[in-house]
Amino acid sequence: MNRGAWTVTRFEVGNYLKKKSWIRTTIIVMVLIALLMSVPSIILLIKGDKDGDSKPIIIVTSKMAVVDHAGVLSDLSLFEQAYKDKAWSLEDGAELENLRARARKGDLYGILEIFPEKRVRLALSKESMTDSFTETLPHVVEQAINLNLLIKSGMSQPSIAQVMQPVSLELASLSATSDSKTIYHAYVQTYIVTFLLYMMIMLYGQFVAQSVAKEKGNRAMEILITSTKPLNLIVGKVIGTTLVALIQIALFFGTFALFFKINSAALQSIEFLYIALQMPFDTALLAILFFILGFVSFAFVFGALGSLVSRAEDVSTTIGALSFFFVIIFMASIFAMMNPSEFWVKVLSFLPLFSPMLLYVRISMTSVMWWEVLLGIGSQLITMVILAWISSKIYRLGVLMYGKPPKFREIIAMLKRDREQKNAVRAS
Amino acid sequence: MQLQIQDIHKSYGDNHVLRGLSLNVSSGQALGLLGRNGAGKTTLIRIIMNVFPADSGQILLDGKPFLRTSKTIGYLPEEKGLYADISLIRQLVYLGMLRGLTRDEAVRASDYWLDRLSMTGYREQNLETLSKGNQQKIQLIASLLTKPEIVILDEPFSGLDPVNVMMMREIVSDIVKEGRIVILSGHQMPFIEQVCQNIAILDNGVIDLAGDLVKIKQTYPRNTIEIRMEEEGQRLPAERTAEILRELMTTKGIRFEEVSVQNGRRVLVTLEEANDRGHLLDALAGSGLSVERFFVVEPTLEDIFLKKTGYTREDLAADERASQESLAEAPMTKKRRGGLFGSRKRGA
Repeated sequence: MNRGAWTVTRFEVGNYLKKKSWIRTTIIVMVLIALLMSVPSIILLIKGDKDGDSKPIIIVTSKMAVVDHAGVLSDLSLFEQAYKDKAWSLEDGAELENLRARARKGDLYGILEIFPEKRVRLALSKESMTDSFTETLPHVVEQAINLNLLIKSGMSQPSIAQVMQPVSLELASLSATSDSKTIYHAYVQTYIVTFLLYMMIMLYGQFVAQSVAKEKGNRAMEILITSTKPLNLIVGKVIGTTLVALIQIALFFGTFALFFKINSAALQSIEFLYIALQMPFDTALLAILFFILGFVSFAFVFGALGSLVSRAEDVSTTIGALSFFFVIIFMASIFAMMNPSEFWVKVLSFLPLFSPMLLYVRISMTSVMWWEVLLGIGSQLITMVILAWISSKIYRLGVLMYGKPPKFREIIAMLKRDREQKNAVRAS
Repeated sequence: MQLQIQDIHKSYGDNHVLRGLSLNVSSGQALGLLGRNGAGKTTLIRIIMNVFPADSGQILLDGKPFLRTSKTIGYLPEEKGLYADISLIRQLVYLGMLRGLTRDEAVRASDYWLDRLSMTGYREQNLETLSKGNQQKIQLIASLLTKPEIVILDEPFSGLDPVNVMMMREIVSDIVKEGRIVILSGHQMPFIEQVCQNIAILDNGVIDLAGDLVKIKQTYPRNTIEIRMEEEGQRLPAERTAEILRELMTTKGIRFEEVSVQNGRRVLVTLEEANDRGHLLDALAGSGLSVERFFVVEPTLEDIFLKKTGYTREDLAADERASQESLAEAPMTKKRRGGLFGSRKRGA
């Protein structure tokens, strides 16, 4: 980077770090992270004061009645273990009408009737879309019946335990880089990185556009473009903003890691957080690389768009189309995470502007050849340079235009005219 | 050093603004670029600064093309404004460094100029807290930080109060004495007349008249005389003086174009022949009237400009009003809540 661009970069970084609104927002988010990470500890603390042990809190929300017509159940312990939020009671078949009346009043959540030959009937007072209760219940009923049958058959306790032992399923990734990680881990980690990239580009892209528009609005622009090359101005601004975004992420992540460590005892049950911190080193490095590539490429376009409006307030109208395009890329990467090995994901992962997100999804969740990684990074790097160059041209012409923002076709015509004019001047 | 502007053409669509304009400016001179609003002064200056290219023609420094973003040039644009919410010293150092100064040089130069323009007290303040005149001083400082060889000031006087105009005049005179090339544009003729030895009148896309102002003035006939008379120690009213003079010249056979009264006080006699000045003086001496003042009035820059371009004083007044209005709209002093989170629209 040359001196001119470096000067602009330092100025931009300083502007952000000195800006009260930036400091305020950063601190608020850090405090929020710290608070959220501490909530489980605080709950434990309050509960610990009451009864001195640290068992997880379980709130019983509903009552279930079981009517065993077939006489195959000895007790309800398996049900109680499987559904800790429900109170289970074994009722007599003669009480059935009575029970139904109670369920209709809302006193009971539901009635489970068990008939011979493992036929089961379930009546619920209200149905819930999100509850997995009806899906898992047949399995629990089967286990309970089987357990009773095994006990009656006189099988020894250890043998029964062996029979009842559930199958534990582990989903393995075929990625060569990290054999041990499961696809679920990769999914969570990829989701976090992709979402962060999305958020930061949306937020800071707008900042870049606004900062350019502001220099137009306050009329500093003419001094700037007569003091150094436009390329220096836009490159410096984009790199400065990228650094600020990285600083902010580092602060957020640092807060997250610190408070995770402080509260680790209470956070044990939240698997998601552990996974986020267990990202392999090489994947994390790639995540930063793709973050920078994607962020910088988009920031150039945002900067060029910012140069087309006259005031910072008008920015949102010009960046609409770009934001929409970017949402499409984000959606594509969310779909790609569900099926990372599909052919279309492979194709898009080499497409510039898509590759920072989609190639990262593939690297993180599937096995990718090294040359594919290089191809994706290479194509994105070249695109980045081209975008920087085009942006500086648009910026150079845009910064002196005041009034209504031009249409896309007008921008192309403008660039063409400028080129012809320069050639004519050179020729004469 | 010599800045050479050669055969510049520039059109905006069908509007041919500059039509083969040529001009040379040498070191140690201040050139006043005059012209009405829309005459193309700012277009010419922007072409010199390479803000946009000319359709044809070239700008050379001592016969060679040169880099406009170097330390050699200081530029005060017509549209004035800087960062409202950033401290003076921070933005001055930034602008100095952009033009190639090191940080130390930029800080030293900024402090020197802040001190010289008695602005040191505002060093750490944001630009938006300053008055308009002071903001313009900061702009001027920004254009002088690099000790440029060429200083181009577009409309430096517009929007300034008399005190700041004086200050601006002194600074411009100083940098001219230091042997630099200074070009300044404007339509406030009296200011420019006080600062610039050389003028160039821009009209219809070409330089209508250019050269040393004293020499230009000498080419105009010296046939206008201001006369003041008194009677018994009291000054005669202007109208009465004019009456007496008309009578005297008619009876003595001195041919004159007109006897006019300006501002109700100044009596100006315009003779048909400048050589008749002696005859008029003789006539006055012989008449027994008491003459308090008798001197040849040189044409002002404004007179020359109007004569040359055919415009009227009303035209110039209209220009001044228009630029005052545009200044009032300029964003420089507006305190806008710009920035990071402040101005972002909800839901955007």
